[in-house]
Amino acid sequence: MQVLMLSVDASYGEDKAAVIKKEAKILGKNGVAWPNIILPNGFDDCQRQFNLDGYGVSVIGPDGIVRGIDVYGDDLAAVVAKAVK
Amino acid sequence: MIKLEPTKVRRMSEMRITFNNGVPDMHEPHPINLKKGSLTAGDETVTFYIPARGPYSVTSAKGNLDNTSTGVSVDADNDSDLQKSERWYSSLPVRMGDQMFDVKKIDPGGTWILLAQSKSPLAGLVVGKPCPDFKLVMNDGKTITPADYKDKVLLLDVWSFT
Repeated sequence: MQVLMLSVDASYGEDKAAVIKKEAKILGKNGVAWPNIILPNGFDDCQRQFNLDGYGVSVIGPDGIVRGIDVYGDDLAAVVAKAVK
Repeated sequence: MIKLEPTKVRRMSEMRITFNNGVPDMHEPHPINLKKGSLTAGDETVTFYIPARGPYSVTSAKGNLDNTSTGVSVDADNDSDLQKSERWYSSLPVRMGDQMFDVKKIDPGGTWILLAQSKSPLAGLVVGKPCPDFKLVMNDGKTITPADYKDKVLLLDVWSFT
């Protein structure tokens, strides 16, 4: 399983270099080693590419099929468990 | 031009926060009445919905963090249970089936909607359908695509520290 983090901090007007620095610090502090991508236009990029307009996790199966969108908690665990079978 | 008709199907509005003299005002989600239309996209008949009452807009107000254009709910799984993930903004290309459409205009009275086949590539996640192609640029400049995650479960986690 792979996690790809999509940062929308650019939506809030922050300079990209500053965002990269801040996020690296936050992720490092919390032991998050997953790849992190800063979307240049924040939520606008999220909406255009994925039709995602909020925070949350979406799951794509190993066959490339979308298994869940904006799933959390137990629902996320169930979707992932089904996808890895 | 597609005619829109009243329907009993409803969807929840979005939670919004507006500011009045700097004081936040939360608007909780509530059920809204809809109108429906349908079109044939490829070999699929797709039903979609917009709010029964306007005002309607196919553009998003500048300076807003939220997209303020009219939401078009596309009932991808034909269950009349409209999820947030099935809502598209009319200021952006809308996926219907496996095709993209631009929303050109919505009648102010909500009786019709004008759609045109979009030149935009297929985009947007739809449960049960293949993830469309995407290209994302990592901080080190490397470009990644869905092919990089072939045979793996991929989680896309949208986040921010702000």
